[in-house]
Amino acid sequence: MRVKHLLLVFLPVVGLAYWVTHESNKTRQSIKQVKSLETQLRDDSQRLEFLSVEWEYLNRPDRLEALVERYFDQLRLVEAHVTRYGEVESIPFYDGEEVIYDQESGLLMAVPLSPTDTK
Amino acid sequence: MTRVFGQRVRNWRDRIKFWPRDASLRSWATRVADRQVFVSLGFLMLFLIVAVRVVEIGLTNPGSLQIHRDVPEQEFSRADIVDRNGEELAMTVSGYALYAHPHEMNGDEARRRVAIQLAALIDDIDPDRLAAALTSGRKFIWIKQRLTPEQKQDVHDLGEPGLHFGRRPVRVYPKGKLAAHILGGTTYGDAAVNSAVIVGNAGVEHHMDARLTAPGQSHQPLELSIDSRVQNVVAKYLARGKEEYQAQRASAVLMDVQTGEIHALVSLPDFDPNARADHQSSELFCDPVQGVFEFGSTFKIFAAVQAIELGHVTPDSMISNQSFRLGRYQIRSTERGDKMLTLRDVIAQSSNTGVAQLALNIGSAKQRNFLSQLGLLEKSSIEFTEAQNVGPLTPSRWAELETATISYGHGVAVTQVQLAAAYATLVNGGFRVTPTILKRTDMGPATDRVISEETSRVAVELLRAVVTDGTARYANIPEVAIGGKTGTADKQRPEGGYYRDKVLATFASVFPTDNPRYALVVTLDEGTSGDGSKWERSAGRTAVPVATVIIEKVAPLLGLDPNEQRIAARN
Repeated sequence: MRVKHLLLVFLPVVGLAYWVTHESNKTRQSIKQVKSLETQLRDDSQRLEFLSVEWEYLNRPDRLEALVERYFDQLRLVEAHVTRYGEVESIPFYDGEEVIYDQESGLLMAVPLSPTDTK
Repeated sequence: MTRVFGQRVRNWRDRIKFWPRDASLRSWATRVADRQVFVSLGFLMLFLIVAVRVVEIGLTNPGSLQIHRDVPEQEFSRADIVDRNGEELAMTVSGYALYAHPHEMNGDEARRRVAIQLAALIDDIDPDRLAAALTSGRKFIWIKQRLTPEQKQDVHDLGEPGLHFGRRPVRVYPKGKLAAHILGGTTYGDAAVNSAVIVGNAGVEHHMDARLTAPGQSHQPLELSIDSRVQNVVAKYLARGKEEYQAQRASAVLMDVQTGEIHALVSLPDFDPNARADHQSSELFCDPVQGVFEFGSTFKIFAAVQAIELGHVTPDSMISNQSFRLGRYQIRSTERGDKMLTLRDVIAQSSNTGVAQLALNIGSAKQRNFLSQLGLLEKSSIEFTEAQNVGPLTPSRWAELETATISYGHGVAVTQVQLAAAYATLVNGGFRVTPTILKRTDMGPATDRVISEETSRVAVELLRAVVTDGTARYANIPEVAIGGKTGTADKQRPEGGYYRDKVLATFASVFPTDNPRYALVVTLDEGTSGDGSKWERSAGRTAVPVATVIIEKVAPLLGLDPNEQRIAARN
């Protein structure tokens, strides 16, 4: 009888004590994780800052102009000018080619209809 | 009778099984039993507290758990500056400052070695001065406020004790010189080892400092009215023009005539805002907002428009072009020497006598009032710190002679932005324009009418005549209908009077003239297109070609419809 009473008192106590310790450990773990995530977040956002600045820097107009000039033989791009408006009709649309969707690059690509057509 | 756990007991003491028969033992047992009750009550209390606390934590919002952040958010919270299309113009990144604790270094030998090593890694360090500072016995020395990430890594790799890094927000201008004068610059305010506050010290950065640092707005970029693509094209072709015509300085303002938003503002020479401290004041000076100039004949349109608005004349009225004396002053006719000119030709040929007569008819009080309504006699309200104290220069005595000279642009000195805004007002239907470099989002319909819609239409017609038949014929291109007025003003000597051979050549233009949308003012300081003769120095030979090239390049970027333009330019 006495043992049963003791058990009745102590088992819940031990159980609760265990549960409380467990929860507090879990909380501590979570706080630690949150802290490390925050550090990571800070580092990542710092990296992101640098990358976006770099992106803007690489895309600054004078650099793009220099690149357009340098690769003129491939790109054939010229500055916008009031005399250089085109007509929609003058755009060379695809002719004799098959347009396929390339899943890897996510682009529409024109391929010659037969392999012998290639230059 | 009490029950303990269902067992009937006489009192608490009965719970002790072996109740001693001996009296002394019995009193001991009684104390034990009492203590048991006391202790169990104590535990019960504790459990209750724990239980309440557990429930409370369980019910609270997990977000309210305050977790200490080791980097305060405010440190880096200066808002970005972007152009009207959201292109970044100013950004903030976290960088590092370098400082030293010399006492942590191993002897003077090591301190000198560190100084030499650092000087090799970082450009602007003088090894001797740094060595002297490190060996002076001081405990703390700032070495450099801004390190690049590479420099930080290099210094870190030295592995020398006593060198420390402090976190620093760094303001960067990724587009370099583009819009440098508008952005201005920043410096550090309060600087501690691990934090520093960026404060603007020029341009928009300074003027809008409160907005840029306002809590809660750091993620919302400040939008300027500048279009960086247009700005780039204007800067590029203005620079070419400045070189071609060997001008000392050059500046240009492109403004939306309806809203007063400035799409491009260039002042040459310019500077790199990332290294503002390395530049001279002549480069930092922003002519369009800081410089006040007599813009010469570009003012003639004001007298003409006012005379039309008052009903004195129409574009076809005949006006005498003969020289006349006013006091001891001779007002000369145009070089071609026609006896009479229509008002249209007075403007197109830029006749001083013609507009002087109009102005004398109008009278000085009304002239003054009109120029004031155009915003030419007030301090500029543009969002530039440098512009805040810049007011127009007006004559202390505004009598007949001044009325005559002001009508052709001598006697009142204004900024280029004010001139552009005045032109915008003339051609936008007649509404007062307030120039701004911030993007306007909440523009209600214009209400502040200066001239009638009809007069505004005539003003555009007169400006167009200057291009088709007058001094700005170079701007008569088939693709865009340009209108404008040239001004070749003799420069003032600092000691008073005017130079004989130094001019400020200006072309104040509006386009497209069938439905004016933009005003562009281009000014070349001491430019000449050839041998330096009077003719070669005139605005028609210098500023007009530069403005035309700029318009040809920016018109597609501004979204002007090419077909409409071609039709308009033909008429």
